[in-house]
Amino acid sequence: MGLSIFFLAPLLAISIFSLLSRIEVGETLYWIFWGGFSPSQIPETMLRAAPILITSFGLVAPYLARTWNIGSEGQMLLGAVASAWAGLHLGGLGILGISTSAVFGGVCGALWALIPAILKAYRGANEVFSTLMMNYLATYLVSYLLQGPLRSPTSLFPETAILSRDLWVEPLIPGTRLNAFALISPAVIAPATYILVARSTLGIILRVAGEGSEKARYFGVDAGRAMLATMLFSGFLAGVAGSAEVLGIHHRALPSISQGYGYLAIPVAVISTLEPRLILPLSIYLGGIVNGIEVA
Amino acid sequence: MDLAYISSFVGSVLAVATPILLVASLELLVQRSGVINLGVEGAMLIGAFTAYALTLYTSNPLLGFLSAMALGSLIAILFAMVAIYMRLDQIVVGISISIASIGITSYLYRIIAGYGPPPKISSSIGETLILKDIPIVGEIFFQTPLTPILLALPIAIWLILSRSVIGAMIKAAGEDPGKACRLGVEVAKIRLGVLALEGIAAGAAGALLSIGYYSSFLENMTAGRGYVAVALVILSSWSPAKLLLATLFFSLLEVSQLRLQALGIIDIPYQLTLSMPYIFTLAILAISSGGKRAPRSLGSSEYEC
Repeated sequence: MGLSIFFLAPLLAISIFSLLSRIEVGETLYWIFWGGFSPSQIPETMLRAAPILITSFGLVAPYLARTWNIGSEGQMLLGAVASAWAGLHLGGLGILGISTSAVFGGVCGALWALIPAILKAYRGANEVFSTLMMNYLATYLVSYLLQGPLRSPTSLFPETAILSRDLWVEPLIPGTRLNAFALISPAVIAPATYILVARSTLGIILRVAGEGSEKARYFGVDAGRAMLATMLFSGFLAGVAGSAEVLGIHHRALPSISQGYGYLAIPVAVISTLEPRLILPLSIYLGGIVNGIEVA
Repeated sequence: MDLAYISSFVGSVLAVATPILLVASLELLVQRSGVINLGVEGAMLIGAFTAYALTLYTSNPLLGFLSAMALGSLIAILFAMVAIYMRLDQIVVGISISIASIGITSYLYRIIAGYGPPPKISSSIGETLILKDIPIVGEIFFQTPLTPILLALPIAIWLILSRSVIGAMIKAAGEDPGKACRLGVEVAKIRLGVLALEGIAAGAAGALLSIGYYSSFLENMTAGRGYVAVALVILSSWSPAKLLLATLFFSLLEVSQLRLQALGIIDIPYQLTLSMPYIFTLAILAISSGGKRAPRSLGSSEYEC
């Protein structure tokens, strides 16, 4: 039931929108699927699936603990800009610079998630509401940074200067843009999700924490700390997904760096807490749709 | 600081306060009945768009205004169906509606306007009213025809809550829906009713923004005002009198910030101006979440009869 909604909802939305624009529905769907899933487009689709995959893996942890972080979009944007800023100061350091910049992006994403986490822990503020507000704030903050202090003096658009060449994560397969992030993340994250959700004590601890603080204390689990930790974890991974976009694809930060990946990761993560083996196919499906819309 | 300046300043504060107060007063009723509806942001936005589109095509602002109210209440009823009857999480449903509304209205607006400058509508509600031309009093109170009515709205809400049977039923639904239900209060219907009223108010508030103030539509033009309304209700600890004060305070803050910037006294990036409603909402969440005055079943649709 949930799965069929997941697969059909984007198709339905596309059909309605093409009806409204008076375009042939069947043709639109055909071209979107061609653009997303024909063999020549698979590398691009994987490239778009990677941020969804990384972010939704981060979200699985808080969702197991019933902490509904919907702020990934903002955390990802902040991570991307922070990582680009760090990268501009780290030119010439090669692989060390890349990893520092990615970690810095992750840390800034985590800090952005820490604010709503603290508000929830100490003030009981609803995290769905506050993370949404943080998303809007991130959009405006990033827009300010890219038009003001971080803007490249030579660029016509609100974006940072381009990173130095040695900080580029180069495509591993010639002729495509497939970089290490897009190739390694499925291989690591798909099994990691399965272990976290279905085969580990940590998964059980998180589930207990999600049962409410009273019950969790009975089992020796500190629900507040679990909430803080999972929020930081998901913010970190969203930030890393953002810096992967910067380091691997655009080599600079720009306002449109996330194509709604942070929001797309939410349904993927919700379903993955129930069936962890689906995280990879679902991410690729959404990545394909995003790519198809872009291509078509 | 002459009289004309002061009266135009007060007039602007009331103009900013009007749509927010309209939504917040009804949100107060909704929250007292135990429901937190974040979908008002979406209902406002859809109201703003509907009013704009209809007025553009029919050049009849009244028709636009009425259809905005109708569509706003439809959105609220949709929320009630999913959150009250199907008992999904109220906050998640509300936010989904609001986010979806941004996408839908932006898309439809692009169909109408393309990528050129937004087509302005010729006649707005404000112009049909002559009261605005009365010196000083007109400028203060009749920025929109709704302002004087609205200042009375919190009193009406207070009267309903403390002096009427309906008010007692609403409060019962918010405090202990299970018990209320066993005593014969139709909790779900009460909630549906106040939500539909709030939808009408949200549609009207949106219409006020688009065809009342700007004579045009902008993408995401409500820009968090629906969320602010929800937060103001929490800040006022569910009391209509405090709600009026809190709304005026927010409007005062926003107007003085804009005026100071226009006079060149403070120079802040426009992004900070735009993010004001969100910062304000977040600050209220931080200050007054978990208040003891909250209706006890606020945010929960689960009850046994």
